Amino acid sequence: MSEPARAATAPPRPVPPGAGDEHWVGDLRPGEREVLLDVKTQDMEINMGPQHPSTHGVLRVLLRADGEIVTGAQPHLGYLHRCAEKIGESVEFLQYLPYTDRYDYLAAMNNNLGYSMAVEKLMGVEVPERAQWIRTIFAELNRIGSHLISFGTYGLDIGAFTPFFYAFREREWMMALFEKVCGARLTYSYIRIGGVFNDLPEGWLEELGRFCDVFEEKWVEYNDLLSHNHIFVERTRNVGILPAEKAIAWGCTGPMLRGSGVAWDLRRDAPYSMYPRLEFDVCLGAGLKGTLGDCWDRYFVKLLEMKESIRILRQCLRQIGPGPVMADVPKTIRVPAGAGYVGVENPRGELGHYIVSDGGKISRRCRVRGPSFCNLSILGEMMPGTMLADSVAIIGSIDIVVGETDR
Amino acid sequence: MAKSFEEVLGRLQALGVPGVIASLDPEQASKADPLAPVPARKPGTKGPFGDPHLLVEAKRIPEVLRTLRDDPELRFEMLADVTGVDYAKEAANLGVIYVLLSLAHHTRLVLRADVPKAAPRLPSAVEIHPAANWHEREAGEMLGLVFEGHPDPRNILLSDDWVGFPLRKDYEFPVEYHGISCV
Amino acid sequence: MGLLPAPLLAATLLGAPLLVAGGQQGNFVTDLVAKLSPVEIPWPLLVLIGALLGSGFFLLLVFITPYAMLAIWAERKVGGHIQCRIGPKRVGPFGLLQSIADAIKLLVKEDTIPAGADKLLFVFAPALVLASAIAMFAAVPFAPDVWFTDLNLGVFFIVAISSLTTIGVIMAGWSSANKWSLYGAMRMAASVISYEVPLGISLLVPVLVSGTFSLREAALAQEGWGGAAWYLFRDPFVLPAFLLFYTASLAETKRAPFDLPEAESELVAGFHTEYSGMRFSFFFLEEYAAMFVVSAIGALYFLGGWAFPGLTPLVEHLFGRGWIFNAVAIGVFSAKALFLVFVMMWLRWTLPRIRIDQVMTLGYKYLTPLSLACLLGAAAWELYVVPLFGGGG
Repeated sequence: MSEPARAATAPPRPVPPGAGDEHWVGDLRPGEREVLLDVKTQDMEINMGPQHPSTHGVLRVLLRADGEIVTGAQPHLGYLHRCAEKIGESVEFLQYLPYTDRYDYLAAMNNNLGYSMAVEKLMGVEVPERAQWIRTIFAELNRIGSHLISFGTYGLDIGAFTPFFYAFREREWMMALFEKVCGARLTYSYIRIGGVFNDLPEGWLEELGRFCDVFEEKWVEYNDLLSHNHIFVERTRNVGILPAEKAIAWGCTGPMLRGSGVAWDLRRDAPYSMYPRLEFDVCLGAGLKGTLGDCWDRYFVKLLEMKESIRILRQCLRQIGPGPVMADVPKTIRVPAGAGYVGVENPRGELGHYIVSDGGKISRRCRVRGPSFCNLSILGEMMPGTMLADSVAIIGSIDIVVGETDR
Repeated sequence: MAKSFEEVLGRLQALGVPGVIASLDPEQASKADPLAPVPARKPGTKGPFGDPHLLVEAKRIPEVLRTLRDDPELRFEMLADVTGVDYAKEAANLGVIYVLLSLAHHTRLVLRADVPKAAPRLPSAVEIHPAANWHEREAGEMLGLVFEGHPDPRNILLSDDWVGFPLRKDYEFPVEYHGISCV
Repeated sequence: MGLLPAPLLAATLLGAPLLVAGGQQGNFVTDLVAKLSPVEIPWPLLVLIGALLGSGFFLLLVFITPYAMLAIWAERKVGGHIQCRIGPKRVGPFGLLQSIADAIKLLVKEDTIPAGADKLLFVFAPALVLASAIAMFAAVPFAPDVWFTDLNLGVFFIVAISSLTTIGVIMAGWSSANKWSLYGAMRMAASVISYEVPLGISLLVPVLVSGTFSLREAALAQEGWGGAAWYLFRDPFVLPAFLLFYTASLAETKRAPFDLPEAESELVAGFHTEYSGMRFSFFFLEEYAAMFVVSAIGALYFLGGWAFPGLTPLVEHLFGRGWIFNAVAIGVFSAKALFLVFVMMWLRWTLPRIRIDQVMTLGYKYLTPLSLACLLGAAAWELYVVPLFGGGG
C-alpha cells in the first residue's frame, strides 16, 4: 500500500476584508488575474442555482466571473435541509431508519447500513453471517446504481445526453432487483438494525448473477461512449485538479480522495461487514489523461469501482450460505448508554454516524457526517481561476447529492 | 497495523501534550459530566460499547490537533467530523466532538472538549484542518458554539436570520417564520 | 403579437435584394400575382407584394413550419433511438403529430416578458431571428426550375443573412435581463465571428471550382458524368473543404458540439432562457431552418445538388427536363440535405459539448488555416492541373 501523502499545511486562500459577508465569494490568488485574463472587465456576480440544471439538486453557488473566467465561488447550502439530526433526537432508533434513506437517496442501502452498524456497535449486537453477506451484496449493488447515476449525469453536465440513458437502462434492472427484495425502488429501509428485513426471494441470487454478466459487457460500452471520447477528455482533463494533500486536509473521501491517488477505502482499511473476506482492489486515479487528481480521474475512479463491485458481487454469490438474516433484537430497541462513531464507505465517501445514547429508546444525539457535505466544502477553493464551463465539470465530478449535503 | 486507543494515549502522554484531561470509556463519553463516576455494572454484562473518547481542554484543541496531525507516530491527517452535543437540558456544558482519522495508521480517534453553555467559545481548528470549516459553521448554527478565529462564521444550513439553536435541548420550535406558519 | 412582425420584417429584408436581383425575372409569386390581378401593378410594388406573400405565406407557413415540425419530430425520434428509447409515439401514427400538439401548446401558453427586460428588443429578437431564417430559405433552389428567387450571389446572400440570426440572438440574450442569457449571447457572438471566417473561406473552394456564386448554377454544373460530377469528386481539396464547412456550419447553427449559446447544462438555456410560448418556438423554427439551409448549401455546392449517379440522367433521358425531372430533383436534393441534417442530429446526441476556449482554438488555430490551405490548393489545382485534362481555366 502506498503511504498516504502527508497533510501539508496548505494555507487557505487569503481572506479579503468582507469575509463572512453573504456576498463574499473569495478571489483569485494574487497574480492570477493578470495571467488568466487578457481583457479585464468588471466582475459579475451570478447565481448558479438553486434552480440550475447542473447543480444536481438545489445547491446554490454564488459565482463571480470576469467573462468566462470564474474569479470566485461560494456555495450556499440549506435549501434541502430537513432537520435529519433533530429528527434523530426525536424518534426511536428503528423509526429513524427510513430517514437515513433520504440523505443520499441514490445510495439508500449504504445509508441504512451505516446507521444500522452505528446502532449495532452501541448495542454490541452480532449480525448473522447470511445477513452480513446480503448487506454486502446490497451495499455493492447500490454502489453500482449510484455510480451509474453519477456517470450519466456527468455526461449530461459535459453536454452528452446519451450516456445518461444507457446508464438508466442498467439501473432499471438494478432497481427491479431491489424491488423484488423490499418492494421499494429508491428508499429501501431494507437493512435493519440487527440484520436485514427479509430473506432473499427464490431465484434472486441467480438473477443477480445474470445481472453481473450483462453489466460487465455494458461497462465496456460506457467506456467507449464517454470515457475516452476526445471532447470529453479535453473537457475534464487538467480541470479541477485536487492534490492529494489538499484532499486529505479538506476531509475529502471516497472517489474524490482516490481520484487524487490516495489509496484509502474503508472497505479495505477499516473493514466491516463481509469485506475482510473479499478480494478487491482499491481503484485509484493515476493521471492517465492529464494531471493526477483532475476531473477525469475522479470520474474514471467511479467507473473502475463499478467493475470492482461486480467482482465483489461475484465473490459474494459464491460464498453466501443459508442461515438466519436477523439477529435477536427486541422490537423496541433500547441502546445501552454510550457514544460512538461508525464510518462506512458510501459511493460518495465516508458516511459517518456519531450516536450518543443514554440507555433509552431515543438517541441523545444522532450526528450524520455526509460525504457530499465534506467533499463539497472544497468547491470554493477549486473553482476560482477556472472557466464557467469547468465549474460545471467540477461540481459534477465532486458528485454531490444535495439530500446529503443539507440533510 | 491499526493503533489502539491506549497506544495513542500513551504516545500523547509521552509527548506531554498539554490539554489532554482524561480518557473516557464510551459510557462516560455519553454523559453530560464525563468525569463523574459511573455506577458499577452488573457482573457478566458486556460493554460498554462504542468508542473511547479523549477529553481535551477546549482552549487547547488547536494544539492537540496539531500534535496529533504532525507527530510521525500518530499522523491523524484527516479531520472527519466536528460536531457538538447537548447532553441534557440541565447540563452545564456542551460537548464538542472531533473525529480524526489517520490514513497512515488506519486509526480513528474521537476527541471531546467541553465548553460551558453560558459561554460556548473555543478556538477554531480551521487553521490546522481546513475540513473543519463547514463542520464548525454547522455546529455553530445548530448548537450556538462560537469558534473563535473562524474565517467565515455564517450560518450554513439555516437561514441567516434563524433564531435559536435547534440542536440545543431547550430549543423551542418557532411558531412561524416570516409569516409562514410552522405548526 | 410576436407572430406579426416576423413576416413583415422578413418581407422587407427580402424585398430589397429581390428588387435588385429579381429585377429581370421575378419569382412565381410575383408571376402569380401579376396574372391574377385585374389591373397592372407597377413592378416594384409587385415585387414587394411577391416578397410579402412569398415569405409570409409560402415560405413560412407552407414550407418552413411543416419542415421544422417534421425535423423536430425526427430529432426526437433519432435521439430516442440513439438513446435506447422509442421517442414520441402517442400523438398520431409514430407520434408524427407530436410537433403539432407542441405547437398548439406553445401557442396557448402564457407569453411572459421579464420585468427587467428591454421590451422592444425582447419582442423584436425572435422576429428578427425567424425573418433571417425565411430570408435564407428564399435563396435556396430546390430543383432546376423550382426556386423562390435565383440570386446570382445566392450563397453570399445566405451567409450574410445567417449573420442576422446572430444579431437576433444577441438581442434576445441582452434584452432578457438575465445573466445566463447574456452569456449565451456573448458566446454566440464570439463563436459566430470566429466561425464565419472558415465557413466563408471553405465555401470559396466550390465557388472557385464552379466559378459562380449562384447555388442553382453550381448545382446545374454538377449534372455531368452521368450525375456523378459532384465537386466533391472533382478536386482533392473540396472534400476537406466540405468537412471544414460542415464543422463551421455546426457552430453557425449552434448545434452540438458547438451549442454553447444555449448549453443547457451550463447556461440553463442560454439566450432563450426567458422566452416562452410562441416566441420561444421561433428560436426553434430558426434553428431547424438554419440547419436545413446550411445542409442545402452543402448538398448544392459539394454533394452534386439534385444530381444522383444514374438516376437523374435516366429520368432526363426518359422524360426530358419537365416537371417529372424537377420532382425527382427535389426528392434527390431533399434527401441529400436531410441526410446532412440527420448527421447533425446524430452528432448532437453523441458528442459532449466543447468549452468556449476550445471552440476558439479550434476555429482560429485549425479551421481557419486549414480552410485557407484548401482554398490555395483548389486555386492551384484549377490553375495548373485542370488545364492538363483539357478543362477550361
